[in-house]
Amino acid sequence: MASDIALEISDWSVGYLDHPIVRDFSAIFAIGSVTSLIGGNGAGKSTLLKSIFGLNKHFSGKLVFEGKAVEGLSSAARLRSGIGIVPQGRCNFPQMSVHENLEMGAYLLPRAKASAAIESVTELFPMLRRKWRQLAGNLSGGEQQILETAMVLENSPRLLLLDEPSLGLSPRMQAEVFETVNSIRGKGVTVIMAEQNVFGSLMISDRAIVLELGRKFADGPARDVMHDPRIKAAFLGGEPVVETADI
Amino acid sequence: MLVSTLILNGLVMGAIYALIGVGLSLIFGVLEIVNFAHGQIYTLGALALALLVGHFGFGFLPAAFVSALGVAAFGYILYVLFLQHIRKGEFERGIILTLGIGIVVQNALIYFYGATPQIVDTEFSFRDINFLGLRVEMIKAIAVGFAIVSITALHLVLTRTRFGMAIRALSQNREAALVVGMRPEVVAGHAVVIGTALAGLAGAVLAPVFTVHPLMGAPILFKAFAIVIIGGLGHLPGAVVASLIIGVSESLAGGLGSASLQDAAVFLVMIAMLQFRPMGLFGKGVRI
Ligand SMILES: Nc1ncnc2c1ncn2[C@@H]1O[C@H](COP(=O)(O)OP(=O)(O)OP(=O)(O)O)[C@@H](O)[C@H]1O
Ligand SMILES: [Mg+2]
Repeated sequence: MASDIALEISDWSVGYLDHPIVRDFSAIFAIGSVTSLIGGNGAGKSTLLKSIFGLNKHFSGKLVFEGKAVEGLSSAARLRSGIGIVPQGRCNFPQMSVHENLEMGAYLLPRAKASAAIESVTELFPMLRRKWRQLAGNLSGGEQQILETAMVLENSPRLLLLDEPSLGLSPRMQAEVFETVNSIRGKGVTVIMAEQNVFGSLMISDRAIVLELGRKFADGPARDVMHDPRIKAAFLGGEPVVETADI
Repeated sequence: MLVSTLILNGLVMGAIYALIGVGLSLIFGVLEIVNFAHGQIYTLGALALALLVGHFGFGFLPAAFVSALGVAAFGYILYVLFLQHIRKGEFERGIILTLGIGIVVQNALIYFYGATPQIVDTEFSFRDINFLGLRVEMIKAIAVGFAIVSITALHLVLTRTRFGMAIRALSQNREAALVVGMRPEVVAGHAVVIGTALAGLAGAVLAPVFTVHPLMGAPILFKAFAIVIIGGLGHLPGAVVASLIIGVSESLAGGLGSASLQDAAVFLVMIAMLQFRPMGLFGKGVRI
């Protein structure tokens, strides 16, 4: 097995309750690559991302991370082995302060490492320091999104799964999130993200995978997918209008 | 009886109710199970203390400690065998299951212990202390001391330690708990152990105050429910405040009115609460 492979998914069928939502999905992700997952509402993007972290039901298929099968591991064990997820929607502890949330983000880290990790994410997102004692539930949607991203980054994941990371953020913060993702990639972190801002995410992605009704519909270099007329019509709404930092 | 004495007695009972209500709240927070066996868990604590003091010659303090530990171990076994397997959205299953466990425990206790009420005579019984010029039974003062110390300790654990913060975190957002690497089944187990230990302790320290018998848990359970409803389900400070309100109002109703009015007072407060502040004293959606 080549050592530049971060994640290999094969014949993956996952979902909830009694039937799979995502079916027969296979893909290989290179170390340090950034992949955009594209698809309409309900296509199964979130379901696929959650399944890589073990948050929903696994029906069949294999998941190999850095050469080790992880499909049978608990979420905690996956986090320990280097996989992190920032799910779609609110994923913090609303009645705890920003500081306490960051403490919980470092739940698996030993004491000394925990303080260093909290220190480094507050440097990355200085907003957190300003809201230190505020309850997470009283932050704005965008601030909560940043807090949640920070909580996961504390664990220095080598595979980062981002579900709608820019949802609810101002254009300036969106650009900042994409910039953060871009800088993380520079450190050898592999990123798979689902994004509403398809154009913004494709701009920083190497690759795009299009999901439709839980199946892989297209897979290729981000630039090709971006210019595929079928995709453009379905997800990009014609020519891109938003200017993003050039990569 | 003096109003001040009635209030003091009410606070004593309130402190003990708080131990029970807080445990109930803690368990509901992490499992979303209303533990209908909580009253029998409390009974177990009282009977364990009676046995240790009466038959094995334990002193009161070590007996209370051992009783709470034993009850916590029992709670953990219940968790591993039954509670852990109840899934989200199986609310009714949780009620029937814990109700069943409570009945089984109660009948087993009647079978092994007999139904006759017994008096537990400890080295602190029939002694008074002076508190702000009022005479207070020593055994009651000790019970309050236990309640204050353990609730303070619980508060510190829940707010200052990673172990305790994880319990709050899990009860606030289960998915987020998974995302940061918690194992919910482990963290919930900790909450059940603490919650049942507190109920066991409540039973143990109240054993010398009243007579003990296998049926003593049922009325207490319903008061504990009133407390968590008044305080707001899953809300710890709410449970403490509600306990004191309940303790004092039943004591005043009993002392100034009639003993038969005591329970009516408790549930009138609860009904008023459901009517006017259905989310509890501290309002909407607040969790431990
Ligand atoms: N917890 C759940 N239980 C049962 N079914 C679910 C659950 N979550 C999602 N689904 C179903 O799975 C399907 C795919 O949902 P998913 O959230 O993966 O879509 P998505 O591509 O992320 O959409 P969106 O762009 O709206 O976020 C939907 O049909 C949805 O109804
Ligand atoms: Mg989604």
